[in-house]
Amino acid sequence: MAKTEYRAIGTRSIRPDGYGKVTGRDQYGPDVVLPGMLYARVLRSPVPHAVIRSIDVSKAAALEGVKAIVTGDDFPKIESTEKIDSGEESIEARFMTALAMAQEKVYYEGQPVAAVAAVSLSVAQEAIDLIEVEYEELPVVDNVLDAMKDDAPLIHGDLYTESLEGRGDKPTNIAGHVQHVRGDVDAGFAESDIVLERSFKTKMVHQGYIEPTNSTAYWAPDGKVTVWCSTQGPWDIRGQVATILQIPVGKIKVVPQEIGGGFGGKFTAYLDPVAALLSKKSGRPVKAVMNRTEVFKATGPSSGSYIELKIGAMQDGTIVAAQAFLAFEAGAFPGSPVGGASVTGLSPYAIPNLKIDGYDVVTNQPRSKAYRAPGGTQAAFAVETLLDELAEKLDMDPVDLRLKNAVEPGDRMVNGVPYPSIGFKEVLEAVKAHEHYRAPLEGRHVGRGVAAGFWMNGSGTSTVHLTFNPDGTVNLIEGSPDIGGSRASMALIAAEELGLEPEEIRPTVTDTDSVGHNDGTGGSRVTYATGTAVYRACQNAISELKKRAAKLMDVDEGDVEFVKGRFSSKQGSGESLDIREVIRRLRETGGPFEAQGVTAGLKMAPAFGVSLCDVAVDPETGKVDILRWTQFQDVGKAIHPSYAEGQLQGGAAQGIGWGLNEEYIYQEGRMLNASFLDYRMPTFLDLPMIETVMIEVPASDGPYGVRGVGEVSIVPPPAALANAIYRAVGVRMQELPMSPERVWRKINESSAQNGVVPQAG
Amino acid sequence: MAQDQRKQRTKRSGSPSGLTAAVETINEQSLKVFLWMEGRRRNSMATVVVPSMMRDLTDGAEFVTVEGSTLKEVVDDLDRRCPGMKDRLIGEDGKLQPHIAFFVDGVEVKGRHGLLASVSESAEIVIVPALSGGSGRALRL
Repeated sequence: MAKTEYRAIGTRSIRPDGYGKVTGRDQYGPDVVLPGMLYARVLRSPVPHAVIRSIDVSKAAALEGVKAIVTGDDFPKIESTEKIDSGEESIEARFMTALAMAQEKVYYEGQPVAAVAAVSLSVAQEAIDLIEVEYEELPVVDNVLDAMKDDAPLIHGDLYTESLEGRGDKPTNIAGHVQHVRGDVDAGFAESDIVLERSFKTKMVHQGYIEPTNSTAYWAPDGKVTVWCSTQGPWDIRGQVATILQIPVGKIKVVPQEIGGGFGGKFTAYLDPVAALLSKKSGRPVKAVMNRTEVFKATGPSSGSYIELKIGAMQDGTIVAAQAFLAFEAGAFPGSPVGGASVTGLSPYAIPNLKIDGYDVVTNQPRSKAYRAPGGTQAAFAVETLLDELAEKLDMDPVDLRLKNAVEPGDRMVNGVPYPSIGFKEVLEAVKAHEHYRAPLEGRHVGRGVAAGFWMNGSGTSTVHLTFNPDGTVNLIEGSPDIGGSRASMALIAAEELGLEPEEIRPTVTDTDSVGHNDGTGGSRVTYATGTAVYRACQNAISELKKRAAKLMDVDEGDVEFVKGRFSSKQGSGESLDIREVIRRLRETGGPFEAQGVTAGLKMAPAFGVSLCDVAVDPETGKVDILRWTQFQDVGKAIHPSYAEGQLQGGAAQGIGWGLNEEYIYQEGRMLNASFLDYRMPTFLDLPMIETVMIEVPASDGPYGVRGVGEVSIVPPPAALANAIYRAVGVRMQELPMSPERVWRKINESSAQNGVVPQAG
Repeated sequence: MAQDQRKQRTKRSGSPSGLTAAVETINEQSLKVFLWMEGRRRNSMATVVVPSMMRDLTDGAEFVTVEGSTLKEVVDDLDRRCPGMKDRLIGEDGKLQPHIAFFVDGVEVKGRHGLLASVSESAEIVIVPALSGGSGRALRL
């Protein structure tokens, strides 16, 4: 039976990497410097869709200090349609190279068309300005609805709709169709006392990680390639570089650097193959770092979307039918998060009749990538605002409406997968019981909103090694890049199991040559899956250490038990040994050993969260100010409460940005706001203290009942904000972001219709 | 028809070749236990949850009962009962289709064990449509 009282788990230990972080001494990707290193710059397409007629690099090549130039012709041409893992999503091999370097065509503004390595960054920049490219421009499609029209220009001539029914029979921009059906949705709507139907739009948004995308590579004369980069998935980068450059993975080593944020966006080999080929040509290490404009235009944001949603319910609040149509912008190549959106939006509710159709649609935009609970935020914006409207129409408390329909363990997600242990109802009960939910609202044009969110959470494969030092301390070798404080959590798990102090565990995130396979840091999987691997490695270590302790105590191995960091004889001889002593004397008992822990195939440990917020809206400007925010979440078991709370706060902050301000603004496929000045992310001046409430409903699998906490907190904020805005000024926002201009226009549309300015709710 | 196929399969799946020789030296009771367990293993019935876009092959049924101790055997039996399934689930390269994931008793198996994944007695196998974006190897839903 799982322990319920812990000595290390649940404490707020100092993070092992804290010193390097707060002093700035840690090495992030752009900090890498190698002897003889060259600097790369990438020439990017200024047009969003075109055939490349010619590229003339002669002037650049003649510039003093230029050591190597690559274009698409230097990369192998790949025809394979095999799906290659790219972290939290996958991409067909034939499209993968295009994210690193265009070949023959450009599909989005900012796509790389050439790259230069030179002795300095300024020379490299001067060189790419000398490269002449002739484009034959093609018609542009930069939003999902236009791309789905029958007469839309085709972005690829050989793209057919994939679905479980098979492959479509004509080229299209609709790359994929996913469907989930349960019961009889038409009969469900016919039976309903009330039916609501609305449509919703969201815009493309970026993860907004602070550290720009980067890579340094060295192609040694013996053919071995080493890549230093900050990435969420070193093994994913290795696999992508191998595919793009057509070299065996065994010749590639990826060395992960400290990472300044990823949120799903740092799994992709945008620069790594380019730096590697430039290194091969020049014979020297090459570093490439994007600027912010390049990050916006040429990495992977989350999709814009169009969603139609219809919900039918009985007068008592029982939801009997739901139907959804979701269309997501994949960007230039298939792979939007519409799969995740199709599953997550309605899965929190036990609805007997439903039909969901999701469409993955290519557009002339950067290829979308995962962003924290990919697809979940867009879907929840639609579902949770419509539920709020339903609660209002039924004169029900919005949390009561959700409680009445909330799923329980054993219910099924919309795709048929049964829920293991979940804590949705517990989270909703915690919201109802919280002082914030009942606190009076004061002032004009203020409102309170609530919305829920769901994310499946991942598990995947993790490998961990433990080695032991002669001073009794333990090295914890892992391959999961630490983005949110996971070294601290891993150390706590090891300390708990081995009976050591967290400071006696030394976690190290190592390279792809030095530990077994690890899936990337994404899908809220690290604390759950890598933590389970740590737990298993500790059990294996204890098993071996028992043998060593038996030798030292001169008793049979079977007589040794391990309790709270001490080995003792079950026979009651009274002798016992501290684990540190046994570790110190390994040389006497057979020499060093290494303990390994592997995780592959845990059950899902889904997460539910709720955002509760108070806002004030200025009807004259449409500006929304957040007065108070509380984020609730079932965390299973908070291994390190500070970092679990940090995940709740960080997700909420990003969800607030998504809800109120952030968007890619396009004009004919050209992004107009590719800088942090014009792409408005929230700063600390925009946010109140985000309070957190962690509910601990143990997960079904893994140790301590832990479940991932990293993603679901971004799912409900935009919907909670929309619901709060409605209660503040009486307008239902159905398009993101709810920027001052959009809110102001909506208020004025409502005023024009009703003849009055909406009053505070 | 499905019943007939199951009988045929059951008939084919008697004692494995060489089994008798292997157990001659163990006592009668152990043999009975072994054969009972082997029979349970070989006659185990799993349930496949079929997604809507494949129910044209199941006469609209959401749940189909199948035999098999690995995912490959399950897919083979599913195809026998519902012809055409295999073409939808397995690509020309013999691997699982990229836009499909399998959950066996709540654990996703695609990409890790693939067709060799074990299927326990009375397992529930959910076939999940899996567009690639936002739900990759770590989470393919």
